[in-house]
Amino acid sequence: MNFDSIPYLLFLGVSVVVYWLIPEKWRKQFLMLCSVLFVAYHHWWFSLLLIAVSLLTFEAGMRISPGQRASRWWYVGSVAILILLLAGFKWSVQWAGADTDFDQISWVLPLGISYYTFQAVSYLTERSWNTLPAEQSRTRFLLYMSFFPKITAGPIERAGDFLPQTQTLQAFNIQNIYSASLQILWGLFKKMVIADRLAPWIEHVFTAPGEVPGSLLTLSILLQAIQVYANFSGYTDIALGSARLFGFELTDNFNRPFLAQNISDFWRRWHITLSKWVLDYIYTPLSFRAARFGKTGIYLSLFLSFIVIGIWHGIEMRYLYFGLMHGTLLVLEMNTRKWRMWLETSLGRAWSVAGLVFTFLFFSMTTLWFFTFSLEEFGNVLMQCMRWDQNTSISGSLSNEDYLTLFFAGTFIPIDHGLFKGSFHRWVQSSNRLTAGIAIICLLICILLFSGVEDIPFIYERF
Amino acid sequence: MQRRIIKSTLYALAIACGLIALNFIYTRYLWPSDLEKYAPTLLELHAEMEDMTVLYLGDCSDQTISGNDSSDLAISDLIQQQFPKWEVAGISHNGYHAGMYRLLVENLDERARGLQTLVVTLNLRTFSPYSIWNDYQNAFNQSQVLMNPRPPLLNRALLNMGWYDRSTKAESQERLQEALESEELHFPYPFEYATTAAWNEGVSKGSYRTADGQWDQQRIEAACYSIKDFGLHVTDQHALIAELDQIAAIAQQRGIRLVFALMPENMELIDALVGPDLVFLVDSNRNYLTHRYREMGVTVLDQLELLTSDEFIEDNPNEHYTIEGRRKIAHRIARDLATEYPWESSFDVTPEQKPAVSSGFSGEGPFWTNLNALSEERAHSGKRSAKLNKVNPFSPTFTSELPANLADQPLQVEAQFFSYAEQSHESFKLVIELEYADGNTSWHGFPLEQQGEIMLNTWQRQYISFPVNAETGVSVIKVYAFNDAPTSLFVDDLEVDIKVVSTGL
Repeated sequence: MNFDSIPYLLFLGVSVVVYWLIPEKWRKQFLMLCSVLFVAYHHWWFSLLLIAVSLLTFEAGMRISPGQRASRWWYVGSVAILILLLAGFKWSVQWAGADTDFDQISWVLPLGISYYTFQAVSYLTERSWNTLPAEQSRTRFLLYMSFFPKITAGPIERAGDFLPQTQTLQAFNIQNIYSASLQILWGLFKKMVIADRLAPWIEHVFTAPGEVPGSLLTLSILLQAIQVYANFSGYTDIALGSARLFGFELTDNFNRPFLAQNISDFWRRWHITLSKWVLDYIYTPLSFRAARFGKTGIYLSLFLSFIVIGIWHGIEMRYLYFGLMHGTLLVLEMNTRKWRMWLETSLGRAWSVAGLVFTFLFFSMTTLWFFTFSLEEFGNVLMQCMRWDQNTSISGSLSNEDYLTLFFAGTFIPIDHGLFKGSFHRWVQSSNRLTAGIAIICLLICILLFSGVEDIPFIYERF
Repeated sequence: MQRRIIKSTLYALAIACGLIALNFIYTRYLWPSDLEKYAPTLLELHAEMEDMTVLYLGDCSDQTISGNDSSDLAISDLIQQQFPKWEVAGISHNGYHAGMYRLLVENLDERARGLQTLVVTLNLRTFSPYSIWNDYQNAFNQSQVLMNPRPPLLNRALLNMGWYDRSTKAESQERLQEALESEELHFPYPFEYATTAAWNEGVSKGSYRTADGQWDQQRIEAACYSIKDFGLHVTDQHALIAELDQIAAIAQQRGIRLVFALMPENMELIDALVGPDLVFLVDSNRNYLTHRYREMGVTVLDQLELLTSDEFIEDNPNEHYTIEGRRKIAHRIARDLATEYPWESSFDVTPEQKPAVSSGFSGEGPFWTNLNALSEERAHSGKRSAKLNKVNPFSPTFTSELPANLADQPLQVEAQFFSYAEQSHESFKLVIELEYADGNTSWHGFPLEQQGEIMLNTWQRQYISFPVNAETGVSVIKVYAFNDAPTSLFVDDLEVDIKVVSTGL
């Protein structure tokens, strides 16, 4: 059930209406039931697995009590089971040869397993650190684990942020519903008009990169970064908006990532809940222990953290390369901090712009790993980009439809990052009624008339 | 309260007006390009609707799939040749079935007031689950959303939101297997297998051996395909029967003569591969369809056994016919039409004859001479056509040195092609050039304006027939299109047949 499909919107609409109509004491149970049904809609055993993982985590959480010897075993044991389970399913994707076929992945890999496993590990770790009390209610905990707006592709919500919201449910607020609807609308625009229009272009180009002009290939590499962003942040907006319809606030995964001036800044703005998870549960503990080895220890911690980010996407070499490339650049940035600061002071705005452009180019290049499958293929695509002499002009390869797609993609980032400051619903709510009305109508018209038609899944659903 | 009601009404009206305006803008400017991508047959139907007298709806059987065919004329083109005064619109698409035809028929509007006869092909293979759960289905389901006779904007919105049945490959496989397992087989005699799936399974462990005692895997596969394609009972409950019933109802309501053309199957091969049990099923399905629809007053042309094995292109049973096969089918359908409308037809009911020389040029395979005018600016089929104007006035040229056995016989040169022009001009011509044994040459120009009104900004079928007298000693015949006006004439899919008059037509 894709978030940009009529079945999902109907499911969401009916759930929201029923949720606000039933007595408050039943709402949590109702939401939990909806979430389990949502997962079962994809495959019945996905929901059984989710329930099993949730109950295991809940029971382990109850038994983890810092200072007790048995507690440590409960922590290590349950986390090991969770990680092995996740790794097993990720391996099975490889084993079934489904890594290139989204249809097959959606059969082999249980819906949202990467996301809820990381949530569970986060909860257990917080319990072992004694920074979070054990949740006493199975219903609330199951709702935290399974809440359907975030099950498909995150955000990886912290128990400390979500569980308190389940204790005191928010009262109905029409402003909240309005703001949530706007966020869903903007998410639909990003996914359907930007990402889904770009998807066939990207697929066409990367199916036979040797047959398109180098200039078009280069342009396509930049566009696929925009596609990935529009696809994932579009999903996230729909997820956050859906959650707010029930009065729940989820953590945003993005903060205008293409304004990042270096890669460490980028990871503070891109897939925030994952990078924060890795920072808190991998990098910080590791670097704390590795500090005695000096800089080498810190660098190793950093590399290991990015390897985790890489293989979180899938147990494949290409994702490992993705992580290593980002890790390497971060180490370089750490080592050059002093003269980068000097350049920033000397060059001022020009340095910022150069950093912004470089970060975007670097990210675009590394997201190529989402579309290529080996080092050789990756290298070939990049080499092909260099062969500008081969091509005559891009214009000869593009249709009117492609120009329209380029127009949307080209104007999207300035509007999203600049005008809306990454949040359409806040911009609308702070604008006057006429401007807001025009913007909403334009958005609806674009979704109606200019959406991509092909059935494109959410990219991060497969991770 | 009253104010609120007025306000709400005004809002609702404003939204309705907005949607109507948006629907108009979409239909006018964006819909055609969506149709081109996702439902091209509907776009073809719109283009043909005003002029057609006969509408032929077909699947892959309509066209050739072989590069070795001497002509790539479709069955519908061949029917058109028999009725030069009529417009026979042929709309065909690989894998189409009654469900898709029904949508096309539902889209016939008042522009189709000249439509007299609707020919719908009945391909037995399309009834099988193996055909239904194929790779085309998602694309067809997508097309169906756009083809539904509803406001186009609504269709586009539903398409955007994925409001159609989409199956992954695994799901399609699962559904296919379920369908094959639930297809119970009934014979008037004891039969080894209870279901199609069991039959397929049994034969896949088959008994076909080559001369050296090895398994003939190719033959086993062909037999299994045949069982999955034809091993079923078409009954009242079949989904496609409901679709055919609806087509019949629409035709009856609109006063259009409906012809169901049951397409030929390679019965010899089916018998050789699987045996009389499968032939029995094919035969009983044929009987079911013919009886059902004849009782409903529909003309059913039973062509199931019309062709011999060598008139099929491939070695496994399907409906891909050679040009000879397509000619026979076209002849059979045309004969039916000629019986119904004899005053309109140039058709001689008795002879059935192959042309002595036949050649076609679509702009894609450059095997004719004089290719200077080829252009990718527009095309009727493929990517290229010939663009004729002052700079390049001659189209690619058909040239035939007549074989000795034809030199002293009366001949008929039949040329047809598609033309496209933005402005009409008197210099648009088709030229037949005759070279004689004594070295003389004569040119016969046929101005297109004299053949009928030239339709602008659309591809228009042109048909010209010219007799060549037996006594004139013609040794070479050339055919080409010509235009030396500043305004361009595009020419594509030029087909030339030379027929011997004495043996028929």
